[in-house]
Order: sequence, then C-alpha cells, then structure tokens
Amino acid sequence: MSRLGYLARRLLLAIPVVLFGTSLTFLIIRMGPIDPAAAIVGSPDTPSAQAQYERTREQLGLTQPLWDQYVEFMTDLLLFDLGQSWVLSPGTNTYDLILTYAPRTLWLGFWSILIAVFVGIPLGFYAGLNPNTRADYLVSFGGIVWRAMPNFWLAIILLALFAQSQQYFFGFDWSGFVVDSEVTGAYQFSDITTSEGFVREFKRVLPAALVLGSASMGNEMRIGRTAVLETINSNYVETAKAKGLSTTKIVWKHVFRNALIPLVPVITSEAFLLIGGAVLVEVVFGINGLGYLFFQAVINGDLPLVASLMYVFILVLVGVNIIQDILYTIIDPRVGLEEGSA
Amino acid sequence: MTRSVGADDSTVTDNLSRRSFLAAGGAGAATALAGCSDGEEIDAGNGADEDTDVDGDYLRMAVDSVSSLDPVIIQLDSVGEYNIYERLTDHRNGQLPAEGNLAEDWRTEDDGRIYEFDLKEGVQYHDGREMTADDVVYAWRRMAESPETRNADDLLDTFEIAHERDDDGELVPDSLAVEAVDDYTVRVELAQPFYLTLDQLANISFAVYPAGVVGDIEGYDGEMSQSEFGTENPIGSGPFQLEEWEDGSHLSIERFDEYHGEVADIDGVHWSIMDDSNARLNRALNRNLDVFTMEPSQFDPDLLEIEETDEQGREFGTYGPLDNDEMVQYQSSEVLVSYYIVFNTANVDELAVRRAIGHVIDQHELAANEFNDMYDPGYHIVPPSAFPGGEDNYWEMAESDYPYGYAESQIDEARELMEDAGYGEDDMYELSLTVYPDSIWQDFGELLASQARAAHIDIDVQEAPQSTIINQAIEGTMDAFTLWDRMDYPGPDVFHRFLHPTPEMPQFTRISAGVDSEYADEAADAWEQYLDNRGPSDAEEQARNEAFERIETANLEMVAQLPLLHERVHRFVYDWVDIDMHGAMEYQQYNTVSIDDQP
Repeated sequence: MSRLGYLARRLLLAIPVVLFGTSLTFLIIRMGPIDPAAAIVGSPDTPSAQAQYERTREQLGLTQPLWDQYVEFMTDLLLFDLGQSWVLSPGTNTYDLILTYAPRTLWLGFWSILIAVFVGIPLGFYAGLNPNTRADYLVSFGGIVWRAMPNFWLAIILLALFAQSQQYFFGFDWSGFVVDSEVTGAYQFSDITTSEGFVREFKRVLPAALVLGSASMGNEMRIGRTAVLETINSNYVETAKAKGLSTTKIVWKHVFRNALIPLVPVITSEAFLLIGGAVLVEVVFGINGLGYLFFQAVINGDLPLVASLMYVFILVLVGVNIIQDILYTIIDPRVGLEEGSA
Repeated sequence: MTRSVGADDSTVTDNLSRRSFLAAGGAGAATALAGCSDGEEIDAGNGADEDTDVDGDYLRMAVDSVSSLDPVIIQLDSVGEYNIYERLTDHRNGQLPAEGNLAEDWRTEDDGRIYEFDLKEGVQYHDGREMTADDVVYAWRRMAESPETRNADDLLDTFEIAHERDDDGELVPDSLAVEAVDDYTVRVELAQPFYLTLDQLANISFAVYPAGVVGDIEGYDGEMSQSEFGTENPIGSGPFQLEEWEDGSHLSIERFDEYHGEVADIDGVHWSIMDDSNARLNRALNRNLDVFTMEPSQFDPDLLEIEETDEQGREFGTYGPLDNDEMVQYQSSEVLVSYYIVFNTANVDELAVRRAIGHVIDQHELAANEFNDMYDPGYHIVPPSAFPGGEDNYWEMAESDYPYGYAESQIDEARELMEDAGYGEDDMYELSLTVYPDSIWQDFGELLASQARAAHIDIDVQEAPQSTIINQAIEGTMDAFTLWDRMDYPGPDVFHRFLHPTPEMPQFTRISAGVDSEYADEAADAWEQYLDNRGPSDAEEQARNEAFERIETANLEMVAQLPLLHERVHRFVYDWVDIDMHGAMEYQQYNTVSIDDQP
C-alpha cells in the first residue's frame, strides 16, 4: 500500500473515534450536574427570575427531547457551527473565543515541547554515549529531579523567582533584562514579527514553558539515554565498528536515528499532556489560554463552549495520532504500511 | 533597558527611605522614557500600541473575568462599566445615598408612585450624539424586552415599573410606563411605590445609551449587532470610553474629553484579566499593577497599620513592607455582601439542631482565624450599612440580642439543647453541609463538624461550586449550604424576601416547611408590614424598619439562615497613585484619580 493509501485509511478510521468522542461529550454535559439555565440566570429565586429561567431553558432548547438535542448537537458540530458562548462571554461566537485563546496555548505548547526536545534529548544522548561517567550521573539525577517536581509547585516557585528576581538573584531584574517584559498575563502577538516583540514574548513564555516542559524534559533525557545505550550495544553498530566507520558516522547515522524511534511517541504524547496540563500553568501565570478557557467553561456551565472545545481537542488528538503514525513510517521504514505486515 | 538601578539598591539597603526610593524609581522611569529615541512610548491614547506595557498615565488594575459590556447583560461592576455608562442617579464614589447624575432634578406624585425626572442638557455620548429622554425609554425597554436581557427582573420585580402583559403572561412590547414627556423630561410610573427607587435606578442595568444602537426590540432597526455593542463598541456618556478589550488578556478604557462632568486627569484605566490571585499578586509585586487586592491567605494582618476610620466605616492606613520592600496605602470598605448558612428547613426540620449549630459557631473567630480579619463577623443577614437604624443599631442589637453567643462559641449550650431534644452520643443527628470548594470554607466546615460532634451533631462536609450549588438548591437535595449574596440596592428586603415561608415556591433559599409556625407567621406578618409600607413618608419608613427588625429577629429564632460574615473590600495602592476608596456600593468613577511618577 502506498503512503497516501495508508494516510487515507488512517483518516477513515478516525471518523468513528471522533463520532464516539463527541457523543460521549454530549452525554456527559447533558447528564451532568450543571444546569446551564441556572448558570445564565443566576439564582431563580424571584418570580420574574423564575419566569426568565423557564424562558432561558426553552431558548437553549433544553425542553426538547434528548434525541432531538443530540441530533442538533452533532450536526452543528460536524458542520463547524459551534454556536455562541452562554455564560463566559455572552453573545460571542465560540469560534472567535477559540481563535483568541488558542494562540496563547500554542505559543506555550510550542516552546515547552521545543525546549524539552532541545535540552532533554541531547543531554540524554550525551549520557547514553558516556554511560556511568560523572556527567551521566549528573544528567540522570537531574532528569529524575525535573521529572519529580510537580507542575503546580514548580509553576508557583518559578513565578515567584521570575516576578521578584531582584530579591532572589541579588538585584538581577528579569523584567527589565534585554527588553521590558511582564512575567504574568496573556501573550501579545500584535508585534511578534519584530525582534523586540519576539524576544519579549519569548522571555514571557520561558518560565511557563520550563514548567510545562519539565516533566517531558526529564522523560526524554531518561528514554534518550536508554535508547542510545540499547542501540550502541546492538549488532549492527558492532558491525559498523568492525567495518571501521568513524565514531561520528556511527553515532549520527546509526545510533541517533534508531534511538529516535522510542522517542517519537514520547514527544507526540506530550501534545496530549499539554492540552490537559496547560490549565494549571496557564492559571498560575495568568496566561488565559485554551486550557483555562475550557476549565472556566466547565465550572461556569457554559455548555456550548465546553462542547466546542471538546470537539477541537478530540480533533487535535486524533490528528496528532495520525501524524505520529506517519512519522513512524518515515523514521523507521520497517513499520509496515501493509495491513498485518508488521 | 535598565531602569531600576535605584530599585535594585533599595532591596539591598532596607533602610533607604521609601520616598528616596520612589524618587529613584521615578527618575529611572524618566530616563527610560528619554532613552526611547522614537518617542513611541509617550504616545498613549491612540490605541495603536498593543504592547502589554501600559504607557501614559493609565491606572493599572486586575480583574478575574469580563463577560459583556451590554447593560442588559452586565450584572456587576467589574471593569469600570460604571465609567463607560451613566444612569439617571448615581452613588457618588459608591457611597450612600444615591444622588442625581444624568437627572438633575425630579418630582414625585401619587405618594411616590410616579417620578418625573429632568435630564441634564448637553450630555454627549462617546459617539458625539446628545442624550435625550428617548434614550432613557429605549435603554430601559431593552432591559425588559431584549431577547438577550438578563436584567429584566431589575424593573419588573420588587422594583416594578408599570407594564402590560398579554394572555400568556408575556410582556407587551412598548407597554413599559416610561415616557419621554419632552426631550429632557422622563416620566416613570411604578406599579407600587418603592422606597429605594433612586438607589435602584443607579444600578448599571439602568444605563442610558443612544436610542436605536441595537435593534433587538420592536420599533428600532439598530445600527450594530448586540454582540458588537456588547464587546467592541459600547456607547455611553461616562468619563471614559472603551479603548480595547482582548478576551482573557486585558481591557482598557480611555479618557473621554467631551465628558459632561469632571474630565479625567489620567489617560485611562487598564485591567489585566487574570483569574488566579497568586498571578495577580505577583503582577502587583512586580509593580505592574497600581491598585490591587489580596486573598485572606496572602494578607498578613501584622503588616497593617490603620490610621483612620471615617464615619462610613471605611479604613485608611498603610500596609507593608511587601515582598518587594514597598510600603503601600491601604484602604477598605464594607460592601453589601453577606455570607450565611442556608438551612433547607424541609430536611433539617429539627429546630434544636439549627440553633445548636448557631451556638457552636463563633463569627468573630471565623472572621479572624479563617479570613485573617479581612471580612467582618456577621450576626444579622443584612449587612451593617443597609441595616435598619444604621450600623450602630446593627452592632447594638447583635451584642445584646444575638441568641447564640456574641463573639463566643457555646458548645455546652449546644449540647444541652441537643440533649433536651433527645439526642446523645449514640444517637447523633446527621446532616450534610455543602461548602464552596475553597480551602477556607473547607477548613470552616471541618472545624464546625468537629465542634458540632461534641453537641451530638454529625456533619458531613461536602463541597460544590456555585453553579452546582444553585442547581442542587433548586432540587432541594442539600441539607444546608454556605451561600453569599449581594444587594443590588441598600434595602434589607433584598435579603428579607427569602425569610418568610413561601409554600407555593418550594425551592432555593426559601423557607418551605419544617419551621415552627410561631416564627414563620411572625416573619410572614412582618413581610406584609413591609409590603404595606414601601412609600417615601417618614411613618412608612418607621413601619418598614420595624418590619425589618422583626424579620431579622424571627430569622434568628427559627434559624432559617445563619449569618456568618459580611464582606469588606480591601485595596492596596502604591504611593504614586492618589485614589479615593469607594463606599458600600462597591463601584466608583476614576475621573478623579491622579497618578504621579508611575514606574
């Protein structure tokens, strides 16, 4: 089967997953304890508020049979008619809200993956190539420590350190370093193309990205080390050595590429973690991204927003999964495209 | 750019005086400005600069969330909606009583059932139009008729403007008895007199804006969609106009130079939108906020020095040093918010239990230990500044008449009461208490549960956020829960309407069953007395206040709602800002604020 056919098959298989996920979303939010009408009207404790509560229920379609609601819900989602927010930002299209909040999460996610990859993997590989040396112990120990620090704790500590850097770093003023930047708050992308804007936003994303990437950085270090150790002792590397290939060539052509294979799912699975794990970091740093929006929508009973975000998350997860499968076939041609050949 | 040589020094040498530090910081800021060769930094008002740094003299604050700027949706002032929109009346600086604002003068007829307002002439909106009486009619009609409205009950409930309903009980469009007599006269006919009409009209939902901006009621085509009006283009007559609002990031308003009153000194106000109190505090410590608040867990009473308390109970003083070594101005005010335990009397129908819990709780200790004295202890449902007879009467009555121990926990009395009712160590009364999902309230619940155990009450503490508490309350599944409520206007009836039996509405905070008729009848009778005396005369006021006192007393006897706390707002203000503290109504206009040498 061609790679294109493989992709098509993957996409086709994704459809039932998406349908199942959205149906489950519908069930959970409709059957859950949150009454969206009460969330909108507040406490319906006066006669006119009570009347308004009933009217709101009708307006929201909550008085229709559940099956009709389900059909409407599914068709709307599939046609990308995501509706309007009810509670958080009444009258605003959820589409607009997502477009406003998503870039912040993407910016944070991008750097937390990148920092983790560019720090974690090289260190892990270095440790793997120099096993049981002092450097290896240092890296491994560091990896465990990074891995062990819980995000909520690390986030608060880093926020305090960066926000009040003058107290903790002998007068070093992080906010005024290179360009003026604030530590907390949502990112501003209006001037991200200028060098000053880019540096400023990079400075602002750094503490949060370190926190969010910390666990994966540790993971990648550990797995990278193990993968290199495994590959380096394998027969084909022995063969390559016996053929008299240079160490550089062995490392870069044989060890490195093969050691990457176990790292692919680790890196892609971080994309999933970022969606769930970003909430905490976003709240602590006041970033107000998608995760925060989702959390707020849930606790405020803003059901259209919850449903739309769930739908987007499901699409992203399925998409990342497909990308992961494709990456596999590129890095490791042995991963079969044919059915049952692997 | 390095601006803060002085600031760095001051962290090392603590004894550097605050003044000289400020001077150093200010000089640093000035150098920073001068060092900016392109001069962009100085250009404040054109909105082109979306940098997170706020340039120019912007008052910088933080807010947890913003939902809409359409007055038919806004329910609370969070980001200076009161600076964008104005009403006929106003609580100047959030202080009681209400005064005329867009209305210069008014007359009442028919014992306060009809109001005729003379509007101020020459009031200009942010879009250049001039205010007329038609705008009042339009804006209030939208509040009642717009499909988007969430504030219809503000003029169709306790405060009721006369109107017609069709056979289905739906409001007849354009039937609201608000009439533009001429360009500058508005006549309002109430369904019945209401003693706090002027206060109610000061509510944000009664904001006046140009007729026809949104065409969501009959008779108007509309110039923009409701969504645009509510998010991008609100038009009012206030001292500031919306500059920019980016969802989940920031909202800023800028000075309106054609304002009919005192034109603001500052260029605008900027709110960072962040939900987490820790993030907000760090932003403040970073000197990126000028005025900020704290959670009880962040507040250290030992750092506070109160220098002055005014006759409205507002406190002024200093607080610090903060973690960044700065001393800040401190100001606080009581606001019209009460916290209490609501008993679902149908479930907890044993009076002894409700009273015993009252004996166990020490409101003073709760305020001091759990809330670091940031909230005031509560011994009545109605907060002191809205209490009949005023603050003095509140505390006098509390000290002399509160039946369950003023400023003390009476566990022995509670146990005695329960034993008399037939409970004992082997036969405990079981109930669940639902509290807010907040560590302070959980602590409170746990402490109460452990103390109540000695009085043979087994309390199971559960937690639920406000949105599900409302739902569970409607369904009547809870035994007791903590609740807070805010008064729209400073009238005890806002809270008292829930304190008499309403069997026809057996839901939410209302008393339905399980209350001795002795107290229930007394409360119902007192409520009738209030309903009969809602007019403006002194005799009516006296009868009304008496009714309110009777309801408070009956409630304490039957313990339908057990008062716990009244909220105070505490503000911390850096020295470079000169801002007055708002009063009990919790809002203010920022056109009198001045800023000097902001870092």
